[in-house]
Amino acid sequence: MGEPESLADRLRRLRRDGVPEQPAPKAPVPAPLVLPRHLTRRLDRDRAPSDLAARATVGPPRDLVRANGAWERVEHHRGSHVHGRVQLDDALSASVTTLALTARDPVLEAFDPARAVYLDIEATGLSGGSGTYPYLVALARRRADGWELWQGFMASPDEEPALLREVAERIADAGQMVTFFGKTYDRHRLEDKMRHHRIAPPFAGCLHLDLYHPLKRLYDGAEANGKLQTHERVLCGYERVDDLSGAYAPMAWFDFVADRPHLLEEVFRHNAADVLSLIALTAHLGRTLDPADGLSGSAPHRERGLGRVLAQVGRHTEAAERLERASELFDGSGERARTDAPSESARLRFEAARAFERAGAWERARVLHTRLAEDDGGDDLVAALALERLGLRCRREKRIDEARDFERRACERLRDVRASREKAQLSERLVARLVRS
Amino acid sequence: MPSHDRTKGPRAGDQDLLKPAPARGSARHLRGKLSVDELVGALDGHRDLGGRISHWERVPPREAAWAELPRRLDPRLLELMAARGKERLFSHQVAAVDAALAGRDVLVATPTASGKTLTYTLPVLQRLIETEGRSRSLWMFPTKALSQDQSSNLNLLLGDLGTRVEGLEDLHSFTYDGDTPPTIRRTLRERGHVVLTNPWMLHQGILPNHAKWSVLFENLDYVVIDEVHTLSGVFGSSVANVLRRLQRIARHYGADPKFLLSSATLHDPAAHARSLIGRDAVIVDEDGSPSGERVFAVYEPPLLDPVAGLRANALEEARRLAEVLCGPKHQTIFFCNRRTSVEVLTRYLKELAPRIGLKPDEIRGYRGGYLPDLRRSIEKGLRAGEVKVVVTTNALELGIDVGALDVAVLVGYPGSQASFWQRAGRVGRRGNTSLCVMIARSDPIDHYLAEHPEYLFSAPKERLGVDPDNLVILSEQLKCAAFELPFRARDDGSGNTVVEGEFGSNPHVPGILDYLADESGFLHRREDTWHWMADAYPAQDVSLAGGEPDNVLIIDQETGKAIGETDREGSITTVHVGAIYQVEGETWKVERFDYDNRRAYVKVVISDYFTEAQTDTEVRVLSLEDEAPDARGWSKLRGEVHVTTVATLYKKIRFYTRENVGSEDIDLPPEELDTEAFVITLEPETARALGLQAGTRAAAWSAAGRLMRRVAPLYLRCQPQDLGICSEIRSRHFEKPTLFLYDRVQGGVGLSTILFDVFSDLVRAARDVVVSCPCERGCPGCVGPLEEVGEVGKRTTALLLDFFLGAPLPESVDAASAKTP
Repeated sequence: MGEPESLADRLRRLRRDGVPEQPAPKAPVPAPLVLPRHLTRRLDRDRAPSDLAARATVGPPRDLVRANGAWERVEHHRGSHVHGRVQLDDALSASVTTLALTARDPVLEAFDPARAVYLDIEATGLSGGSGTYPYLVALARRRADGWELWQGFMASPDEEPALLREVAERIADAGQMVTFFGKTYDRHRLEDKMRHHRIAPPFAGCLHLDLYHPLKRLYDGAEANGKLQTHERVLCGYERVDDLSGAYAPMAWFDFVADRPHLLEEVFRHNAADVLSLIALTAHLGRTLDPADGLSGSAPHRERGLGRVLAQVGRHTEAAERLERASELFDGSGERARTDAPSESARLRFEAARAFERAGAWERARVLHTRLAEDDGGDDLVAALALERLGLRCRREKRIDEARDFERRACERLRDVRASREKAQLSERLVARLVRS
Repeated sequence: MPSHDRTKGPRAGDQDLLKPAPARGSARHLRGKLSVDELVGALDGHRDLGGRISHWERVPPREAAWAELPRRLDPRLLELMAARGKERLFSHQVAAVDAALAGRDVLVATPTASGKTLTYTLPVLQRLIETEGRSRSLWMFPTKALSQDQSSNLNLLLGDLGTRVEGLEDLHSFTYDGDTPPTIRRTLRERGHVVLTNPWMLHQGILPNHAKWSVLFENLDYVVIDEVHTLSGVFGSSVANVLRRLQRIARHYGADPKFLLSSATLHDPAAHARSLIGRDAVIVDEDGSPSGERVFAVYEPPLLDPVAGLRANALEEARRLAEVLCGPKHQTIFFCNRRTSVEVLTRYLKELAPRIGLKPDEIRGYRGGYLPDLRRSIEKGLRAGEVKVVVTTNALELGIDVGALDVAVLVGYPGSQASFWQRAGRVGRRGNTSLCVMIARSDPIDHYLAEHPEYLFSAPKERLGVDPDNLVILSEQLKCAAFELPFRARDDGSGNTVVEGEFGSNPHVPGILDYLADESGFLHRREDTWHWMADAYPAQDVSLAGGEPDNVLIIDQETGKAIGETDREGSITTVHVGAIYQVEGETWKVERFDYDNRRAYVKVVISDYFTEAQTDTEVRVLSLEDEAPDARGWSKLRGEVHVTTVATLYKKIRFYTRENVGSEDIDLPPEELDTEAFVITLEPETARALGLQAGTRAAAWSAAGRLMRRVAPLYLRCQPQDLGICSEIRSRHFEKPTLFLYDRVQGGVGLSTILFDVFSDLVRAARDVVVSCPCERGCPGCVGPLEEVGEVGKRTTALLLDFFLGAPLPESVDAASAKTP
C-alpha cells in the first residue's frame, strides 16, 4: 500500500477526474501568448476572431480609478457625438408618449431621457444564481456638459458589495433607466446580488424602459434576430469593428482574477458600445410614431407594429390607418418577394378593416373587406373572414338574403384552404348561421 | 386463531389536525357494516388458502396515552385546537411540541397515523403568532404529491388561525416544486409563510438562488423534514449536505432555524438525526397514540416443486386472495414492489370483479407515472369509499390522504421494516380492527420472514447508511455550496486551516476546496477566501441520487427519444451490443453502445429470449481500516478497495423455459470502482477443514456471500443490488479464501461499516434461510439453484454459516455435510 495517498490524489481517484489539467501559465509578458486550455476550447467552439490571442492583455484594464471600494472608468462624450448615424442628444428629444406607447407602459409618460441612466452589465454567466458576478456595470447619463459613461468594475468578488452599493445609488438618484432585455436579465442579476449583500435594491419605484420588447413589437420578422447588435446596425447604422462576443465576458474576468492574460479591455469596449447603443436606440424609438425623413428600419413592419399597439390602447382609427399603410407597404415593397408577403398584406388589410369597424367607420371597413373578398387571387382564408364580416353586417341590418349570400361565398372560398383551427372555427360559425336562418 | 374484539379506544386518525373530517355517508359509514373479523374468519377457514397462512399475529388494541396541551402555547392557538376537538394530545405529541417550543431540534419517530404532522404544525403556528406573521418555515417532503396534499389542508388551518388572531389574516402556505408556475413564484417567495417543497427543489432551485428567497431565509425559524427514514444511502448522504448548505445560508441571513423531523420508527434515531443535521436532536419515540386491533397473516404460496423449491407466483396468489379479501362493503389495498406488477394485478382483479361483487371501475391501479389529475381522482374515490380496491406501489405508502382502509395485502416484503409498517399503517387508521396479509415470494428475505415473523414485530433493526462525508458526495456538494456563498478559512490556533461557517466537521473541507480551486478550476482562492469562479450552475449537474451525470441513456434509434437509463456500473451488463433491454414487457435490442458518450441505441424487437451477462470481478485492496480476527481461523475486515469488473459474455435465455439458446462475447472496457468493502477471510486450514477447496464445494463460498448480500436489507437500509460481491478461493492480497461485499457507490456511503457491525446477525439470518428452506439441494429462494451450487452446495453453505456462528469444525466434511441441514 506504500506511501500514504495525498488528499488531492485521493479526490482525483474517487472523483474520476483523471489527469489534472496543467495549471494555466501565469504569463508575465503579453506575447507570445499561450492561452489556457479552457479558453482555447471556447475559442474553437465559437469560431472566434483569429487575432483574439493577440488582443489579450495582462494587468488591470486602462484608466481604472479606485472609487468607494471598487473601480471605475469614466468617459465623456459631447451631445453631438454620433453613434452610427445617430447623435446621442437625439435621445433627449425622443417622444416619451411614443416610448410609453410602444413599450405598452403608460407609466413611462413620466420618463425623462435626460435624467435616465442607460444600463448594461457584464456578468459571469447567463443562468443567474448566487455564483454569478455582475462584475462590470455601465451607466450612461446626460450631464450638463454632455454624456457621462461610467463603468463600475470589481477586480475581485470581495469588491462586489462596494460596486453594487454605488450602482444602487446611481440608479436611485436617476429614478429611471433604459436597458435592453434588462427586465429579464440585468435587473434581476443586480437585484439578487443586492439582496445577497443586504443592499436595498433601487428598482421598485424606478421607471424602466426595456428596449427589447418595443423593438421586437415594431421590427419582428424584419431583422434576422432581435439582438441589440442587429438593431443598432439596422436602425442606427452602427457597425462594430472587432467586437468581442459577450460569450467571452465570463472567461475574461476569470482570467483577470487568476492573473492570467485576459480580454477584459475588449469587454470594457463591448460594454461601452452596448450602452451607447441604448441611447441611440432610445432616440430611434422615440421618433417612430412621427418619423421625419430617413428613419431607418423596415417601414412596413414598423407601421404594422405601431398599428397593433395603437389598436391595443383603443386608438382604432389611427391603428386602422397604420395597418392599412403597412399593408400597402408590404404590397409595394421588396417584401412581396417573400412567400408570405401577399398573405401578410391581406391579413393586415383585414386587421385594418376590423379596426375601422371598432372605430365605428363602417364604410371604410366595408371598402377594405370588399376589396379582400373580391381579390380572387388573394388569400382565401382572409377573403372568407372578410365575407363573414360583410355577412354579419347584413344580418345586423336585417338583410338576411344578402348575408346568406356572403356566407355561402365564404364557405366556397374556404374549400381549398389548408386545415387549421382558424378554418375549422370559421366554418363552424358560418354553417351555424346558415342553418339557423 | 384469536378472537377479535373491537377496540373502544379513541380514533388515531382524528388526531390529525390537517385532515378534514370525513363526509357523512362516506366510506366510514359503509365500513360500519363490515367486520374485519369476518374476513379473518373467512380466510382462516378457507379450504385452500387458510392452510397456507404460516403465521397469524395479533397485535392487541392499545389505549391512548394523553397529556395536557403545552401551557406555552398561545391561548388563541389553544382555542383553535379546542374548536377542532383537541383539548388534549397524545403524550408523544406534547413531548415533541414542548421540545420544539424550548428551541430544540426534534425528531419524532413513531408509527404511521400517530399524529406526527401536529408535532411540527403547532410550533410553526405558535411562532407565527409570536412574530405577528413575520416567521417563515420550510417544509420538505420526499415526494411532490405529499407536499401538495399537505398544502391544501394547511391553508385551511392558516385561514382559521387568521380569523382568531388579529394581524394574521394574510397567512399563506405554498407548494414550490417543478409544477409551480413561474408567474406565482415571486409571490410565493415573498408571501409564503410556509413553503412546502422537496429536496430536489431545495438543492437546485432555492439554495443556489437564495437572494431571491431572502425574506424566507431572514425569518426562517423552522425547517420541517417529513419521512426522514427515506433519507439513506447516496440520497440521504446528499440531502445531509444540502442541509449543511441550508444552514450556512440561513446563518448568512442571520437566522438559526430549528429542525423538526418526523419519521417512521427507526433503529437509532439519534444517530440518524445527527447524520442529517449535524447536531443532536431531542428524540421522541414513545408512541402515545391508540390503535385498533391489528391482525397480521403471513401467506406462503404453495410449493410447486419441492426439489427446486419453486413456489407459485405471488401475483397469482394475490388474485386468489382477492376472492376472499375484496368486496363491496370494505376497501382493500394491494401493494406491489414493481410498477409492472401493479398493472398486471389490476388487470387480473378487474377481470375478477363480477365474482367478488364489484364493478371494474371500483378497482383501480395507482402508481408513479400516472397523471396528477388521475391520481387525485383515485385518491378522492378512496376517501369517499367509491374505490373498493386499489393496487399500488410505494406511491401510496407515504402519507397521502386516502382515508382509512380495511385490508392490506403486501405482494412480497417491501424491502424494509419501515416500508412494511408504512404499508400496514394504511389500514385501520380510525381505530377499527384491520387485517394485513403479506405474501412471501421465492426470495431469501421473504423466506426468512415467513420463518421468523417476529422480526417484523420487534424493534427496528435496519440501520440507515448515511455518510455525508463521502468524498465524492462532499466534494460535489461543496461545489454547490461555494456557488452559493464563498468559504472563508481561518487558523484554528494550532496551525490548522479550518473553514469558517462550518460545513460539517470533516477536516478535509479546506483541502477539497483547494483541490476544486487548483485542479478542477471551479474556485479561486484569494488569501483566506475561496470564491466560485466558473460560468456554470453546479446544482444542475450534481444529482442527489448520485452517479447520474455518468448514467447511460437508452435511446430508441428510430425516434431518437430516450426510453430509459441505467447506471454506469450496470451498463456493461445491461446495454452491451446484443443485450435485450426490457421496459414494461416490451423488448428492445441494443444495436450500438457508445460507451464514451454514455448512449445505448436500441430498436424494438419481438424477442422470445432475454439476456444475462457474465462478469469477472477483481477486487484490489487499497487500505484496511478495521480488522477483527477470530481465533477459530477466520477474520472480518473493512477497508477501501478498487473493483474492476469486466463483462465477458452474455447468454440468451428463453422466456419461461429458461433454456440457454446461445451466447456471445462482450467487448467493452472494464468498469472501475473505488469504494469501501466488508471483507471476510478464512485461514487456509479452516477452508480445508470445511472442504471449500475441494471441487464443487468451492461454490458454497460464493453462495454464502450471495445469501448474506440477499439478506443484508434486514439489517441495513438498502437493496441487495446496492452491494457488490466478489468471492475468491485464493485472494491475491490475502492469499486465502476471501469474500468481499462492497458498496456499489463510488467512495462508499458507509454500508461496509454497518456490515462489519452486524455480521453475526447477517450470518444467523442467512443460516436460518438455508436450514428452513424446504428445497433439497438448493433453490433460488436460498443458496441458489442446484446448477450453480452443486450437489453438496446447500449442505456446505450451512456448515460454513454454522461455523461462523460458533459451531466446531467438522472432523470429516462428508460426514458432516451428510447430516446438515
